Formats: sequence, structure tokens, C-alpha cells
Amino acid sequence: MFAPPTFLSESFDFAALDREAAGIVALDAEGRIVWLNAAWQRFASANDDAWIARFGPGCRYVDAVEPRFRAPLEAAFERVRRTALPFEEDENGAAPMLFPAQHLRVLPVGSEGLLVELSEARTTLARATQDPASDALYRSPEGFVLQCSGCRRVHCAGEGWHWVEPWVSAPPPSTTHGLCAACAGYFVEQTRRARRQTRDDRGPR
Amino acid sequence: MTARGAPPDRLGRRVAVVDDDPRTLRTMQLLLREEGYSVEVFSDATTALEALRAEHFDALVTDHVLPGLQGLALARIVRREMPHVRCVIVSGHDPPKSFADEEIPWLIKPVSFDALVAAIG
Repeated sequence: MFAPPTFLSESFDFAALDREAAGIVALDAEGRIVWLNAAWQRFASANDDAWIARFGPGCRYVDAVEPRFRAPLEAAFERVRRTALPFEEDENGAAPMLFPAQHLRVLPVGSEGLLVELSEARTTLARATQDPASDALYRSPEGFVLQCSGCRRVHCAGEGWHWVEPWVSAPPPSTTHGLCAACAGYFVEQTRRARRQTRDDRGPR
Repeated sequence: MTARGAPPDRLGRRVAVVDDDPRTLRTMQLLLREEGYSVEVFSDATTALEALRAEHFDALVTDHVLPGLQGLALARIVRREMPHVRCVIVSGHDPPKSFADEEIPWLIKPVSFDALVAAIG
């Protein structure tokens, strides 16, 4: 695993993020890629050699996407930094990737860093899970479906977290709620941020 | 990060946290410790109940949907046997209709941490 730079928040468990099925990178305050997970590297090697040169360590993320996406992406990044709230959308063809339909999620990390997560698009998986037999894919041996209470994705053994569109608003029977690695880090980060804000508002004692 | 800044009356209060998701347990343990609580975690209600009966705890925070004994059933037993223990349910589901009259806070995941701390006391 790439060692996360020390300036990144301690709220996120980077070892857990490294094990996620979704491709994840961390960006510094200038938007440069300073950490990437194993899935991101696998994704890169499944594409052409030029891909990792554009989306690898040290690259500025926004500069690597197609020109027409740069301004809205820059605006989204700026909004996440300013509001400390996540941003997400389905995107198609932001880069000439092997899997063009992606779900993009951006979370704040530390004071000005960002976590960018690319997973298979929600719509793609919604189509793939119309088959009732697929329900079994998501059940633990005890019969539970584990849903992230933050992003509402469900856990698929060995494959990380999947968007199953019908379950986002209406989870299936015997659903138990947990946290994916990204949402756990975000929850810790937000709680600590709120705590610092409360202390700052109180002022020195 | 430490428990510095936590209210002195909270320091050392023992809280049992029950959830079948290990990452949720680690997250709750980390944040509650930073708030000054002493935290023990359990992945099922039966083991938690044994510990609550054997040792002193001030509060119980439990998920509802658990393998075996459910969180609400655990909270009802604890309130009956150990009325000094504050019970809080944290669940991704709404409470059942039969729950309406009970004096147990039911918080929806993802929980507001301020609300959780206020409910634990």
C-alpha cells in the first residue's frame, strides 16, 4: 500500500480504504493525487499504460479528465472544501476508461484534502440486480444484508460495496446497518470538526 | 486526540456498545473515548447482557437488528434488571409501532454524535 502522507487526516483508516473494491485516491490542497488504493492501481493496469501517468501520484486530478468536465469538477471540489459536505454523481466518459459508467463521490479530508472514490455506476448495478437470485449475493451466512448507513450501498462479500438502487430507499428484509470505510472516516472527521467548532465557539477558558 | 475538554462528570462513565458491524463498533469506541467515556464493545446482545449483569455500566448503546437477541429486547431486559443503566438504541430502521410508549431514545443511523452523547448523559 502507498503510505498516506502525514498531512492527511487521521480520521480515515487508509488500510481499510486500500481493501475497498472501489478505486479511491486522496488529493492534497492543490488537487494533486497523493495517495491511491489497490483497486485504483488494478483499474489503471486494466486500462492503457497512459492512464496511470495521468491519474497516478503527483498528477493533478482535474487536469487529467476530459476538458469539458474540468470546470464542473473543479467547482464540485471547491464546494466540498468550502462546505465540508460530500458531493456525488453518476458520470459517463469523464475519462477514456475501460468502464465508462462510474459513480463519483468526493469527501472532505483534513483541512483542505479530498477523497475521490470511483465505483461502478448505480444505474449499472440496478440493472444487474433485477434478478431475485442476486439477493443471495448480498446476504451473510446468518442471512443479513449489511448496508452502509452513510451512502446506503450494500456489502457484497469479496467485492466491497455495491449500489443496489431499489435498496437505497427501501432496504430488503433483515438489513443491518454499518459503515463502509469511506463513510466511517467521513463520520469521524465530521464529528471531530463539529467538536472543534463547538470549542472554538465557546472560546478560551 | 484525547478526552481533554470532556465534561468532568462524564470522565470514566462506562458505556457498553453493541453492534454486529466491527467498523461501527471501532468508530463508536473511538469517538466516545474522545468524549471521556470508558467504552466496552460487543458484537452480540447475549454477550453484552452477560457483561452488563456481571459488571457496573452506566449506559448501553445498542444496534437493533442483531444476530440472536435483538437490541430492543436487550434494552428492555436491561431497563428492568438494571434501571440505573441508560439505554439508547441506534438503528438504521424506524422503531416498531409497539415501541411508541417506551422511554428509550431511538436514534437513526447515521446518528448525530451530539444527540448520542446527550442521550447517554
